[in-house]
Amino acid sequence: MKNKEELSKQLLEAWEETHKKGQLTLWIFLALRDGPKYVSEIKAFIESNTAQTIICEEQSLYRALRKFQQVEMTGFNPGKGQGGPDRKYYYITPMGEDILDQFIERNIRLFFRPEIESIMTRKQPQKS
Amino acid sequence: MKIFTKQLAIFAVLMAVYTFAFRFGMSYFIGHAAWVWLGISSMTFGLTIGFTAFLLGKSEGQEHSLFDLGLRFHATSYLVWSAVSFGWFYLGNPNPHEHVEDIYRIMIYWGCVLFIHTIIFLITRKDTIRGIRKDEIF
Repeated sequence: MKNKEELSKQLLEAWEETHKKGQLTLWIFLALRDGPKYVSEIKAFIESNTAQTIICEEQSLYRALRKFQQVEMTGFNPGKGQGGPDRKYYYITPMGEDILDQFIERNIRLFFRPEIESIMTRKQPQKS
Repeated sequence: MKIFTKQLAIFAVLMAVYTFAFRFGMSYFIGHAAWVWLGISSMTFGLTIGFTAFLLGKSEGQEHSLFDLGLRFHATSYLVWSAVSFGWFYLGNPNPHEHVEDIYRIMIYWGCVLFIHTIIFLITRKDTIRGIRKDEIF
């Protein structure tokens, strides 16, 4: 029984690890749709809204934001830091907004369809 | 896509310095029949270029994520090496045993490798958006 629990825990962690890689992009765009933010604010937004299931390094966020900026999905404006150096306030571009909308429509809203929602909430009867 | 970057400019300058030092050393070692030192300097030259390109390329990769990094550094090496080599041959102080044909020969062989690299770049470019591999954007 303990082996099963351990296996189940390991599988869940492995699945979440893979899932998180793809989810980070979505969460970055959701954070920026919420309003322009600097990297620490994006990190805080993601971690609090995922109930800490997605913990991200600032370095990973910078790397991702640089790529999104290169493909014109995000941009940044320099802003005053609190006593420190100037910060980059990242924002989502109109094209980024449009792609996010399409992505949500094609990949996320599916989960809100009643038939899918009922499957997701359905509990499998315990086998004795 | 940004082609000329700070790292590429630094690399071009360092490549010119390395090539000049190498050609100077080569002429000196040939003149003194110091073949072991000639071999050591050749290896040092190659390793130094590789190490410099690795460090600057890594820095640029983190800043720009350009997939064509290798080709731009490769083409820059080729052009700078050729320019400095000709400069040394015609304006510098080459050893009488050095021949300009050797520079042409190396340029042809190296040019073939650069051509193949360019073909590979053009083929793989289809899998990119704005210079980033599609599977690395998101």
